[in-house]
Amino acid sequence: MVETLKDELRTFESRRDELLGTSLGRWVLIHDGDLVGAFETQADAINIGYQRFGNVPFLVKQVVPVEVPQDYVSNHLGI
Amino acid sequence: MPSFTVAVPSLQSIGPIVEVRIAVSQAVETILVSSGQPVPSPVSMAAMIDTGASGTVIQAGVAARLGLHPVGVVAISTPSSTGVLCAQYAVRLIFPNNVVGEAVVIEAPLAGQHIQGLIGRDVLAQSVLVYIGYTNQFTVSF
Repeated sequence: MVETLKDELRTFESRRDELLGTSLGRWVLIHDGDLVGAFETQADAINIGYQRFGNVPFLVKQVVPVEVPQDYVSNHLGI
Repeated sequence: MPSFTVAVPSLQSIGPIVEVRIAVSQAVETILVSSGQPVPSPVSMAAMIDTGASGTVIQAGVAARLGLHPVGVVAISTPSSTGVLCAQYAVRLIFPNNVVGEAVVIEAPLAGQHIQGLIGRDVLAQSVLVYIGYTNQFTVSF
């Protein structure tokens, strides 16, 4: 399902430097390759995404200089 | 304070496993109801309280059963891989005793057959976890 958001991820990567200057620490909402806005919390960005676009794929991602992967120390995940 | 307590026959060998129902988020339920579409029934699963997991995980395929679409992508690291991208979904978690919370979870295949989800530190960050090994039970309060 990551493939579903490839256009949104491409937009995020292409505008990352700009966003680091304007929206550091905030959560951006990207839909159909368009940057909709930057929000204070992840929940705010997700709720705006649902309100504006409905139950469809969109990307909410925090603007940080270095993304730290989520960490799973057990071997439960088959990845 | 909302809470639930689970007794497990052998907490040490089985682990802190709780039956949790995964439902669409309140925002999606509102969209579905307002447009006259049916709201999918929650999906039940056995999930382990995992303090070694930074985020909550649902078994691959659950989001599709709920008709959900991804709202994010994150990289994850496991003992055998680094930087694997996983889709994120906004869901409602319904624990025993009708304790309800919302979370943004990742979807991934779970290797073990006895659990279909992990309750990670993102959820535990809002709670108190009491693990009483000698009585084979644990309590989570929010």
